[in-house]
Amino acid sequence: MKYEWFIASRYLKSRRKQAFISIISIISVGGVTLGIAAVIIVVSALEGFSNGLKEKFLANEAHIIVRSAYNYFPNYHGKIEQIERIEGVVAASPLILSQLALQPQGSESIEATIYIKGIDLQAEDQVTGFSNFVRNFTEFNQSPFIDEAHRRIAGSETITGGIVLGYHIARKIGVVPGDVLRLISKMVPNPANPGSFMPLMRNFVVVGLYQSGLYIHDNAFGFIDLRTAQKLYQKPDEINLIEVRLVDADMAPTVSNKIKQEVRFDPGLGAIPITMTWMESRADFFDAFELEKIVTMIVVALIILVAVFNIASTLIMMVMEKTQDIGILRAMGASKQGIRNIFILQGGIIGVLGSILGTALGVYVCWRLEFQVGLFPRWYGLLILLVPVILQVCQRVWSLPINATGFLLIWCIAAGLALYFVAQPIYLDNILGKNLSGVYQLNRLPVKISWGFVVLMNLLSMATCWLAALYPARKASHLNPVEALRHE
Amino acid sequence: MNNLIRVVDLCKSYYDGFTELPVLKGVDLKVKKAEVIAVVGASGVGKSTLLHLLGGLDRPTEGTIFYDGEDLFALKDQELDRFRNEEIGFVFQFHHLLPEFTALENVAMAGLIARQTSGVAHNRAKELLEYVGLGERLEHRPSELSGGERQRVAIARALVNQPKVVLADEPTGNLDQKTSDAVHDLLWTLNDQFDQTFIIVTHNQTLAQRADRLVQLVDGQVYAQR
Repeated sequence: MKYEWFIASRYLKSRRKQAFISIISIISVGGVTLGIAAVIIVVSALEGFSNGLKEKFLANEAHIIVRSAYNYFPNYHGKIEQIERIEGVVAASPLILSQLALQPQGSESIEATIYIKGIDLQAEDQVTGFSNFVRNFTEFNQSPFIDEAHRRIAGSETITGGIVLGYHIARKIGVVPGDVLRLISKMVPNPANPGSFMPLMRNFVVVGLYQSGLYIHDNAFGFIDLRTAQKLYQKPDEINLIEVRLVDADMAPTVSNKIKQEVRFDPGLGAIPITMTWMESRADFFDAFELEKIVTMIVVALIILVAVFNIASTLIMMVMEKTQDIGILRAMGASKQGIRNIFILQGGIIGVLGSILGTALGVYVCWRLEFQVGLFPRWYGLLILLVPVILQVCQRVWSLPINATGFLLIWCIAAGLALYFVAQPIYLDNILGKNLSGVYQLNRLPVKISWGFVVLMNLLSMATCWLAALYPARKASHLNPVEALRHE
Repeated sequence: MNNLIRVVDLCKSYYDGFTELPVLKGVDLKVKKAEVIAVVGASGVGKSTLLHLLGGLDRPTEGTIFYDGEDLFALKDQELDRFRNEEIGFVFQFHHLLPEFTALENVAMAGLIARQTSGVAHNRAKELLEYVGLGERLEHRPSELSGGERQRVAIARALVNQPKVVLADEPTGNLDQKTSDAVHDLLWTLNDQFDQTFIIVTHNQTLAQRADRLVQLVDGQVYAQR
């Protein structure tokens, strides 16, 4: 491969005869670089985003939800204990989930319909960490806000208890802690007038705001005490859901199967429980992300394809330009394979260089997007550049045993480290000029580089560069040497 | 004395669409070792074609060439490549040096193709370039050399693998008289010194007269030999 390599690298650098040939090889490398960098950045950002959201989901959602085939079921304490004994389960909590309409006091109309979760505070905290997301909150039914509301509306209305409202709902309907809300249920049979229906209405005092950071939660839920909910629905000692938290969220399918095998409801309530893992309940969401990732990859793959066509045309031009050289080389005894190797090597060099540069660029941009605020002022990172400088000075003075290649390597490492430390996270809010954190509380673009994917893309791009070189190389090797020599 | 090369009834035709264009029509020729042979003839008579066939760069339509009694065109393509690399040195009219490479690299290239190590090939190339009087021009590219210098580099290149036969196609075809004479002197010195066989296609009368033997091609055949 020696002379093939010698000629291939010289051809790529050459700018003698037609200046634009070497510029074209730079453009070819640049094309591959951009393609690889784009793929890495885009996929890492998408992966990071879906991962960030997944983590948020898993942080404040149950990993498995268990319910009976019928709505409410009694004797839930035993079932919860049974579920908690299953390996991999951290905790399980009882829940009454229902949909209710909201009418703030002083308002004439229903302002919103929300899901109300009746929760057991201690149990719920173990499953979803509920209290962590509500500021200044200890109890549903004992709060200065309730005492104050009692004083305010004493006599005219009764107060059933406290409610913690999703932050965004509260903002939307304009209530703050201390305000009184009327919760209106769906119609129930009217005991006073058999055959007719009436809604249940109860007054609740807002005792806290729930802010998990997930818009879809903060805009959908209100929370009341489980026992209050049981009284409200006249279902003493019954619930309609059990929430389960796992040590490892990825174990959800396994644990879910175990729950189905081990837990039994009373006959007549559909003995086998119905379970839903977070993967199932969020499937639409993650599927959408997967789909988007695939579509994006296809689009970005086109960039690489353009780069590959670029390489092919560069090499075809190179073959035409070097026809006479090919004839001379054949006359000197270079084989067809030798000629083919020269041009395949050129494609290979472009591919490898482009891939390395592209990977470096892509990973660097990902770092910039993700980088945490450092321990020391980031400009100090430039001090790392002093290491090679000092080494070079030392070499001048004492002639250290480091050769040019060694220094190149040291410089590259130092420059890479310096860039890493100087890097600053890119804040989305700064770029877009609007507050995205309100929606997903992700004001940094979370980036997750999948190294396996990076390696795969590198291999793919090198392989396609090689493929791009095949046709020109074949053409070159099949040139008739006599005709090539006559070529002017 | 043994013949180094025996050309037997060599025919070569080119095909232009459907018409056959015969160039060589049965050339017979015998060449002894260390001979200098000048091939003369009108333009288009097939001198270059004969030279290309002698160098194994092309295959004949009919007939064959024996080197040391061995049929050249019985060789496979790869063996022919190796034969060209080891046994033949080409010198062309328009030097045909590789423009991106220095004089030294151009000469060393044939050695590299022969899979010699870079050091060996470059040392040998340097030796030869010094021998042809270009010791000071090793690192110059062809564009920085004069016509005579280029042709001397080309000759050094042809000799680098110590071939048995040097095939020259009008080596002084586009040089002035004085430079041509210098190149001719070089060729004869080399012939004396290394005992190599030279087959030179030429229009140059002095060169033709100076050769050991003169072969004249007329109408694709050997018309006369001296």
